[in-house]
Amino acid sequence: MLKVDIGTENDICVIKPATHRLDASTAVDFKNILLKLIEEGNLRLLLNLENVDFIDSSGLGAIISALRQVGVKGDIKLCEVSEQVEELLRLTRLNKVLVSFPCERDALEGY
Amino acid sequence: MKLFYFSEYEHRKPYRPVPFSAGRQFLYQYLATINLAMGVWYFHWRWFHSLNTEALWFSISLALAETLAFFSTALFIVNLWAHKDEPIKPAPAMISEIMNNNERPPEDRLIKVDIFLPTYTEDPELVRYSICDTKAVRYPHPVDIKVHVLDDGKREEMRAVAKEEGVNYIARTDNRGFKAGNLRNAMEETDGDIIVILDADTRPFPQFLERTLGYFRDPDVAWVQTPQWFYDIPEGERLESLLERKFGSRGGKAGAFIERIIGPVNVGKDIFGSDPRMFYDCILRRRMNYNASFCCGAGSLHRREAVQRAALLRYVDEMEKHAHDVSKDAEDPEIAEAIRLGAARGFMSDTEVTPYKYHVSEDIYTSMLLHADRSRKWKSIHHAEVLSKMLSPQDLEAYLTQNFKYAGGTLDLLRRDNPLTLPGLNPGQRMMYFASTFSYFAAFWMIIFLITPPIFYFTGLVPVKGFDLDFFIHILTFQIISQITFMLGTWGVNTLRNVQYYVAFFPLNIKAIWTVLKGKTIKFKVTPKDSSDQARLDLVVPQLCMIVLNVAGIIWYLGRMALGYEYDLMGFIIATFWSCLNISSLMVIVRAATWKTDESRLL
Repeated sequence: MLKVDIGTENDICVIKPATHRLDASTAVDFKNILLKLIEEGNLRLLLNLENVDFIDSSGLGAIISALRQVGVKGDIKLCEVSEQVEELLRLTRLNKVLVSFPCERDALEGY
Repeated sequence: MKLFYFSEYEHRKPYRPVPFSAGRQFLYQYLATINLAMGVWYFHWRWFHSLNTEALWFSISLALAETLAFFSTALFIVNLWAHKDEPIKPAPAMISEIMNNNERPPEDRLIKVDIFLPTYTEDPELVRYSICDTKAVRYPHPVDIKVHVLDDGKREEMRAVAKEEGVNYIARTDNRGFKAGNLRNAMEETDGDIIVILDADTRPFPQFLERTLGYFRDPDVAWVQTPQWFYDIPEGERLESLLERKFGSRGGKAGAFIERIIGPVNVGKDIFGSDPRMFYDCILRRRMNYNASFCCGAGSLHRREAVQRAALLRYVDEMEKHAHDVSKDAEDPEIAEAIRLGAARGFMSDTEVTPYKYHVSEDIYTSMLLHADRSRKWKSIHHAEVLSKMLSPQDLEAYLTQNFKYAGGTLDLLRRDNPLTLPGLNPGQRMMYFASTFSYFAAFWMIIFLITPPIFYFTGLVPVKGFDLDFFIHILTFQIISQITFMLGTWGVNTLRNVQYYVAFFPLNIKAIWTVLKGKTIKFKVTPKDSSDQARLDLVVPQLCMIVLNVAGIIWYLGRMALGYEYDLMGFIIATFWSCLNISSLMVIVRAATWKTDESRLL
């Protein structure tokens, strides 16, 4: 089971997965965690990817599913993304809709 | 196990791929080059020296039809140009062997393979055959192979069969997205690195995985397609026994004599023309030369990462198109950007990411998107050797439905993303995807070819200036070289039915083109299968009309000749030659419509 740290600051739910990889083997768990949080009413999410150095398309797919769930009222943003993740977002052109910040403080201020 | 009609075909062995021969390939390329050069020579003559100025409308239509047909032939020649089979690599065991350095998990592990058997209404006992054969698939390493039955019918009997056979059973609450949705649901419940897609009736051979997984050692290989081989195709009747049945022992002897000279003749073999060997062993196989072989569904293996990547790319593509459409009228760039972003988010909250849709019509499209992926150079593999067996459509209607879907799905490419302009494809891939769509337009020139002889019979007009020596030199040399090139290009594969159905399919292809142009979805009305013993001539009305038109024309012209009117004997001989050739092709589909399919074959 995938472990994540969850905290709330200024009405923003900060999620920090405690894994190095968001890939096919963790994507389903991760998606379910996000969906549950959204169901509980958290519509502004911040994913702190400090620990994550690798995301594959399945992992990214999980985030997109969550983004669909929050709808236009909420949003999901990222912070502390690794180079590989940055590159993946750029290659899939998802960086336009998945905004990422260098650090958590910036993200909370600029959300 | 329960016996089905196909149980008597268990012994049938698949064909072996035509072995590569450098000499034959060289000869083919040599002749193909001459053929192309001769095309230029022929069409120069055709357009500048052979048009009949007294009937230009007729003359130009036929010349145009011939030119388009030649253009299509040229694409086919390029398609068949060279073999480039990928060498088979040893079967991998660990995940690190099939992934790039920067993608590997820190701890190595065994490769995980998920085999999907989607089913909906098929008899669970029929699916049991597929399950048993799938379980018998062997592998030289202890990899983690899981077999999943994906039952959209949510049937207790199916669940029971899966349980008895000890494989995983997956059902879902709704039927959204039909087969595509079924597979996607299963993908979400599994996490294998490699996904194998079979159909409910696909029965893999034991060596299925050990022969194919090795290709994934190249981290850029996205999918591997194996040929679909139908082991239940009607074998037909030997000429000798057919003639004996119809005309007694003398007939039988005559049949035996003919067979002794030209080799065994199986009348009515593969009457529906469903044997896809030419497609797999010639067309798709040689598209490897351009890294342009596409995925066809059942019998394929996929890297999960590629499937997901394709889904994301498609998703972003559609999202951007939507955002562009909504914002294109805004003049202020800042407002346009804001609208774009809003539209993108709106799209995202309405739309799910859909992995590989696995539809006939979707497979080729998704293949093209992956080939065009500029973030990664994906490779596709066509494995030439047959590694599974499956069942074919058993009546004309089922067969027409299947082909209508193929046609519509392929033509749909032009509407969605024109392969000629889609960024990211290499020139070879561009040409090959274009060739797939263009071949269906053959219907237009085929109609002109089919009505040219009748126009001659009824009006006395000829489409060329005259039947002089110049005419024969041009037409004969060009036709002969074209036929020899085609024969060499498809060496070792019986193409008779392909050629016949290429002619006979014109109404179906026009209907598909029309449907796609109108922007409608490809649907085919299927009537209940209770009238299998009745001839279904209603399915082949346009072909029957064409036959009647040609026969009536010949009778009409003969009548004119008998009554002493002026006639053109050479014109008549040439026209009847083409009429006979065309009628023989059209008759195949008429015979298929009157074919009595045994009740037991309709599952």
